[in-house]
Amino acid sequence: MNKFMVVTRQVIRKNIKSPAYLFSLFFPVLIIAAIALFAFITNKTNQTPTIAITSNNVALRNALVESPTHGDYRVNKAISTERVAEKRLSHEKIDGYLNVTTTGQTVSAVYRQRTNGNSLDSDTLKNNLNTLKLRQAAQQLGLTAKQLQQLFAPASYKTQNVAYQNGVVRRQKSNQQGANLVVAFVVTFLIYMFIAMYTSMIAQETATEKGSHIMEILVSSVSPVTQFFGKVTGMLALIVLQVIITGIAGLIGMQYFNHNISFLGNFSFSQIQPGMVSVLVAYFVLGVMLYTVIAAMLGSMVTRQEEVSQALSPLTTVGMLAYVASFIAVNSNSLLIRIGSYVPFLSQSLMPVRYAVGNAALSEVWVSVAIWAT
Amino acid sequence: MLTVANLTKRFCPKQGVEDESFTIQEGEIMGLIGQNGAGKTTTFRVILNLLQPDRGTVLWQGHPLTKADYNTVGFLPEERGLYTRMSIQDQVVYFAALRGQKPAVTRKALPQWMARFNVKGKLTDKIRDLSKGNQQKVQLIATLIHQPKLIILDEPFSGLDPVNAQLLEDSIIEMKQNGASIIFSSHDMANVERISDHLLMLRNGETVLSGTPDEIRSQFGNTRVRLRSPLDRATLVAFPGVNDVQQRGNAYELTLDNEAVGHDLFKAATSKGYIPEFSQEPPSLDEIFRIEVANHE
Ligand SMILES: Nc1ncnc2c1ncn2[C@@H]1O[C@H](COP(=O)(O)OP(=O)(O)OP(=O)(O)O)[C@@H](O)[C@H]1O
Ligand SMILES: [Mg+2]
Repeated sequence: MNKFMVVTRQVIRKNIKSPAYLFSLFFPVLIIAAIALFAFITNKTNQTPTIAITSNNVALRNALVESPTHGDYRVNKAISTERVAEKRLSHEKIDGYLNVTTTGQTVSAVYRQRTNGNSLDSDTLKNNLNTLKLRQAAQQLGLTAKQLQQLFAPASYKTQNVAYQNGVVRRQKSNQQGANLVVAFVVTFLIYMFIAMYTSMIAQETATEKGSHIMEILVSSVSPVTQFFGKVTGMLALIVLQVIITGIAGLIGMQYFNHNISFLGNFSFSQIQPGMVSVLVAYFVLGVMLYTVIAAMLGSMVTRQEEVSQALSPLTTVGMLAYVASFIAVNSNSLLIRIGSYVPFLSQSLMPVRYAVGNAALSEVWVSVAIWAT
Repeated sequence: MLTVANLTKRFCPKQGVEDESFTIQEGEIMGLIGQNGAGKTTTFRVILNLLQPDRGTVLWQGHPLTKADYNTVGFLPEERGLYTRMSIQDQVVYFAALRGQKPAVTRKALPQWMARFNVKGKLTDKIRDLSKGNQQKVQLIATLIHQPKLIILDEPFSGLDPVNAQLLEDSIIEMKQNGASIIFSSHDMANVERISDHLLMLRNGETVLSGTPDEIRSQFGNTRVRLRSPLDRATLVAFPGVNDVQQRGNAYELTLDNEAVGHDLFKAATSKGYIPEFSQEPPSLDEIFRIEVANHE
């Protein structure tokens, strides 16, 4: 095993064993778990009601039983008579039952529910009943299936958001922009979190041996260069680990909560443009790398461990300013913001947001990235 | 073989080391003595490349010490340098790995070393929970466990009780028998005299004594006598050629003008037959140390 690997492994081992690091590593998992638990409990107390459907018109009843419920209720198919339904209701086996009576052309329905049962959101049930009734009427009027479809086809309705740049309309679907902005916010936040957390960790790491005689042992065992890059590599490995865990937790959370949280309800990954994804990945990698390497250098320059936070403060301040400025960048495209989005140390927070709201073109992004890379 | 030639490292005038030269063969132990600030630690730092010398050369096996030689070095710094939050095992394994020894090898050897130095503590104990002496022993184990060929120990005996100091002496001797070149510093002259093949005394960076302990002591002549006999203090003080008389319990320690005075003294002391103690020796290293310090003041 070469010494570079020895140093790298040591950095990883040491941090993996530290409770503070483990906590931060699994923090997103904890959050997701907490939300899941909350959702579970609320679901538990407000479950989908189980109902029965009875009718003097067997065909109608069967059609209604088979209609899609959209998760609003569950039908106990076995109960088909009013007498049984009433008995089950009194035994609290079901939350309510619908009794449909057809006399000639009229269809009347009564829903009887227990006041202490799970309440029914009756929209779906009503719609189903109406659809069946209309179909019945249409059949009696002799309409074809096609005519029927035409009759019920809803009018199309869509919102379009536009942004003007140099007098040219840039078209971006509204939900697309929303999704971009959400992702940009999440990622800039993550970038900021990672920067805040890892700059101090890595600077501490490179400064640990300073002012102690460990340094003398290390320097007479490994070259300082190997040592430095071993540490940086170890920290990058930890970052990758955390990205993976955060990413997985995030994805699972999204999947799980898609139905439960209305804000995420109309959010889907397919709405995020591939351009956005590559922009975010590029800034994440560049931003976090740049900050950690600079932090490592600052850490290796201080002579005593107590000086670490002092040496780091300019760096962390810049990171925080950029993060705060990213909120301004949502609504403002001022010169300052525009310039900032090209400057390394700032652009990792500004450019993704500007791009997301459509204030910057992809080409501008790559110019900024190129500035960074050089 | 370690060869140090004309080594000079000045911090400011009269500080650091000045024109220091010595050689340590394989299987040889060199003891470095000198007052605080004499330049012992500086010497070690220069040997290890931690400091650049102003003049002079340090050669290990005929070439300057480089990265390639790091694995054969064992260095015990003057003050403890351990990661206090690590367990004993992790700490030793890490340092040994940095010296190129596989963790499995270290893990296998460690319990024997712990037993040999009588370390009070389990392998999984954190360093910070150990007593100072036990931390020192862990540091020593970390210095020696990879069987280095060039061993540099800066005050290895400090903080060890006499029993543990003896254990360390034994280990150093064993390393020497395995062919290592060893250099160490100490303020305990008894230690130094017992295990050193060669001895170097620094004073303000200058070499004031160099040689085997016996050579150095005999330079000062056989002028110390310890005596238990019927002769009383007044007689001894009045004895021709006796300079100084110190009472130590019921024995006397005398300083003679020259070795020959000892013959007359022996005759006088034994004129009535048996006496329990008469020994004539050169001054002890302790005394020589003080003489040398005083001489240059
Ligand atoms: N980095 C340094 N900068 C300036 N002066 C130094 C430096 N290191 C050592 N010195 C000076 O060099 C001299 C020799 O110091 P050194 O540490 O070698 O002494 P030492 O023999 O090891 O003493 P001790 O027995 O106290 O450990 C001292 O006067 C010290 O002040
Ligand atoms: Mg010293």
